[in-house]
Amino acid sequence: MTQTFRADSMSQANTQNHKADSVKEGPFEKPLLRNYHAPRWDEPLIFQLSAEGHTGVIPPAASDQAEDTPETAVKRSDAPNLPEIGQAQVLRHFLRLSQETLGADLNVDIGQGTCTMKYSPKINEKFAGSPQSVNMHPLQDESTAQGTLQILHELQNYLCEISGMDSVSLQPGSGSAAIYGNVKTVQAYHEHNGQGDQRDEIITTIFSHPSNAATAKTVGYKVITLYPDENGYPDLAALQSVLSERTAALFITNPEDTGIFNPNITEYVDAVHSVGGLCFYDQANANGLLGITRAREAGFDLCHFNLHKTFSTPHACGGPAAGAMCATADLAPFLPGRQVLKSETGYHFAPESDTATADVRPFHGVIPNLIRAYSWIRALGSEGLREVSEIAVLNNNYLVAELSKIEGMSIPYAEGEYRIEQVRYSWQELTKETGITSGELGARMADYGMHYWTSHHPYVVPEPVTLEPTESYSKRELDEYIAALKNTAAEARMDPGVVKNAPHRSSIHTVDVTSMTDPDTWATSWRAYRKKYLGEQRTEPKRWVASDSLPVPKRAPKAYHR
Amino acid sequence: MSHPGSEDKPAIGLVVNPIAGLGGPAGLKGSDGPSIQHAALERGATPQANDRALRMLSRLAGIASERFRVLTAQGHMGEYAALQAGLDPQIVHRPSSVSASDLFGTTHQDTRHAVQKFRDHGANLVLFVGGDGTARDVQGALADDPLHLALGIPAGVKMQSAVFARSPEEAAAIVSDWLDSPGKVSAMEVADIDEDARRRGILASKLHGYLNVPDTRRGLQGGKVGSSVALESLAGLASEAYSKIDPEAMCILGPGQTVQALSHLLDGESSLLGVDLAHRGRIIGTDLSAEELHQRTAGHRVQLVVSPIGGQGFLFGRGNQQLDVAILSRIERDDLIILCSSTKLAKLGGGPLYIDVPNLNNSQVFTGYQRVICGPQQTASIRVADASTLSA
Repeated sequence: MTQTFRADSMSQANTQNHKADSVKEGPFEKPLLRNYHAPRWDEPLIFQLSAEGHTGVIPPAASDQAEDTPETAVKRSDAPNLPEIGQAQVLRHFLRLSQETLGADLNVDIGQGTCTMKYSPKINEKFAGSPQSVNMHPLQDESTAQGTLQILHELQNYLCEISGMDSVSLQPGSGSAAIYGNVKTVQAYHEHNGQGDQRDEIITTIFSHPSNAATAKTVGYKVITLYPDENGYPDLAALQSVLSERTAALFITNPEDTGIFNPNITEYVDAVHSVGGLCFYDQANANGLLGITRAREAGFDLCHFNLHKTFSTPHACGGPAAGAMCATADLAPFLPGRQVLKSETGYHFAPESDTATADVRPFHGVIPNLIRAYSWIRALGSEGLREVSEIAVLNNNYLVAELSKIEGMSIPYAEGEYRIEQVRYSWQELTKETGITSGELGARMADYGMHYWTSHHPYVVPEPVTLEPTESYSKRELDEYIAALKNTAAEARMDPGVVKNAPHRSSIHTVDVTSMTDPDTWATSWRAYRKKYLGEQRTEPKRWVASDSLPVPKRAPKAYHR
Repeated sequence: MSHPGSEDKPAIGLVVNPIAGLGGPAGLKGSDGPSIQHAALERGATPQANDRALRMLSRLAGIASERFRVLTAQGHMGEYAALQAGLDPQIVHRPSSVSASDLFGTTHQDTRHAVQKFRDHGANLVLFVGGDGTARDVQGALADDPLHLALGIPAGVKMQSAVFARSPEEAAAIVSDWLDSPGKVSAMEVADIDEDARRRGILASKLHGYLNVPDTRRGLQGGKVGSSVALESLAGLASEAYSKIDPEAMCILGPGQTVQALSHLLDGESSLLGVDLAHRGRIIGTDLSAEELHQRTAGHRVQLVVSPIGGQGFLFGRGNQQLDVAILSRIERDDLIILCSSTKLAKLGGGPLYIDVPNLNNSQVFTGYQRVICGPQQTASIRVADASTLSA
């Protein structure tokens, strides 16, 4: 059904690599381009596997149940509308689903530029999964959580050191929550100074993360967007044209999602400061900066880190992640949440500040993720952090050098200039030549077991693809990704149909995008699906109620295959 | 638009502009006019349109045979391609007074007449093979039918319009998707090179109208995987612009779909392609000439709402020459209201935008950095340049 091209240029490249290494091509040598095929289980939704009377393992109720506990106070009276299904079926179900996904531990995950898909060390799971981590209760006495508080305190200090800032709030449960928290901090600062109503504009750039514009709007600010100049820097003259006594803050990334680092960033910061505005440094793209540049030296008042990007905690498929907000001493009183202080008697949460903005999350941050980030920093040390950035930049430079050889791919803005840790490439020329779009190339990359991401919308770089190799991948892995990309571009020329109709070897073929993007047709839950498509009213499943006098159930007889 | 009853197959009207694209390979800038066409042939050009139509039809017949019927025009205008693809077309238009086998015997009028006949015969979808000129003819013949549906197969020298599939094969896939599920439509721009401007060495498009095209998220929409223009709210842009309008001022509304969204917040009908006038919450004049604009705005503060032409970024001097020097010289900087969706702005690379009005003595009002409204509570600071000084 599908045909795999071994583009001539790629075969030659392979041969050359082997020659250069003086390694003879043996019979067991595997090609860089894998003969990948995803498992396809055609797995039903778990609700469709529901069978009446099936249950998991249900422990008997305690015979002498305590009354008036907090648990009984919040216990729901009706059963949740969950599928009736056995434990083994649940296990198989989710294992199959996991096999049908290109997980971060499975594929060369450099195709999701700006996401910094680096390795999350497994040892850190052990720390994060410890009882002190997972059983931490927000209201437990500080004296019983000294170890955890010490970790939070030291993590605050490390992030201060890395950013040059004076204070850190670890409260946000995601990067966007941290950006939102920074918008609220800006607002609290201006309100404190009696300028809350007057300063109603936040300026950001089109190549900063869309969360900057989105959170500012959520808080109620007017958003002004700057577009790039010919060098790919945000247009400084455009910034100057909009600065006024209404300016609340500039929210900006550096390097931006193009991978271009703006060396004149202090000019931007100074311009905003000169009209009384604040400057927030979105450090979503900080992986090439550790130990090299700091937000403080660039003059920023606030910054944030995505701990799930730069500091290796897992992205967690929508959360919870962890964001850290860093501020200068002037802005520190307005940060949300309570920081952990060290005193002679030990570690404790600082009292709530009167001027602080409202919490962005109840209680403290996501403890397991904070422990993962802490462990990662401790394992590397200061020299290790800098080495992370240097390798991330080196890997990116290697990728640029190799991908520049692919005809039809270009790197918009500032030709010949180095990028930092990622690049937003453009397939515009290939698309013009073949009609194959970047999105279609991405679908074909799935046939080689690779993730691929274009860009945020709207596309300013035409036919974009954003790649960020991080420090976590070996040269062989980078070469595999490059080989797959070269091959896919060659296929676009030689057999566009195979690309256009991809994926062929993935778990699922093309899906109708509207089914996921159109509120009229999407069904984001089983209940919504039944309501929308089957016209069903909600039905209550039969409820299993454990009798108080129930003996321990006997094991079911062992089932055998055949 | 939905398919007729299940026993009746959807009807596809196919019209081919036989000489489309003839000028391109010969290095000519278009294929309009017999002298260009013969010059092209002398330079060794061969007609491509029929081949493109055949590629599309063959693919479509392969993936969706027996699921549609074809209405077409005689000879080179579709019949030959349909027969070559093994289809059994119904000929509903015969070009008058020429031999069907004469490649150059047909005209713009024949395209229009063929499309008119497709409508008469209940075509559900009009497929046309050609370039911008063909798109204009099809748009002209369908403009008064709000439920029309059309799709271009690219065969022209230049295609500024957004109504073309990326390739004949892509067109077949779109039609196949549409046969599976008629679904949504998107109104897309029909534009053509502004000939006057081109003679002065400036490349600019002029907006001629809109065609409804199947929105199957393929091909046409291929560059926007995961995104949707249809979901982008012009209403949000419009409400933001509305808040800037002084009801006591005379508010001039420029042409195009973006500005037209504003008319929903005003009483009265607006024109899509003309220059309209609003006052005290009502549209008080549509498709006005420069002279009418002068008369009706006299003695009032004048505001101007415009949106750049997609692709080129011209604010005025293109497609809205009614906005002459006399009117523009009365506009203050704060009275210029520029609307542009972020998708359109991104495609323009974030600017610069252009004006091209020679002898405008207050051009500095319109140039430099302007706030462009992109959505509710959302603006961009974009540079506007004077193209008449750039091209000098």
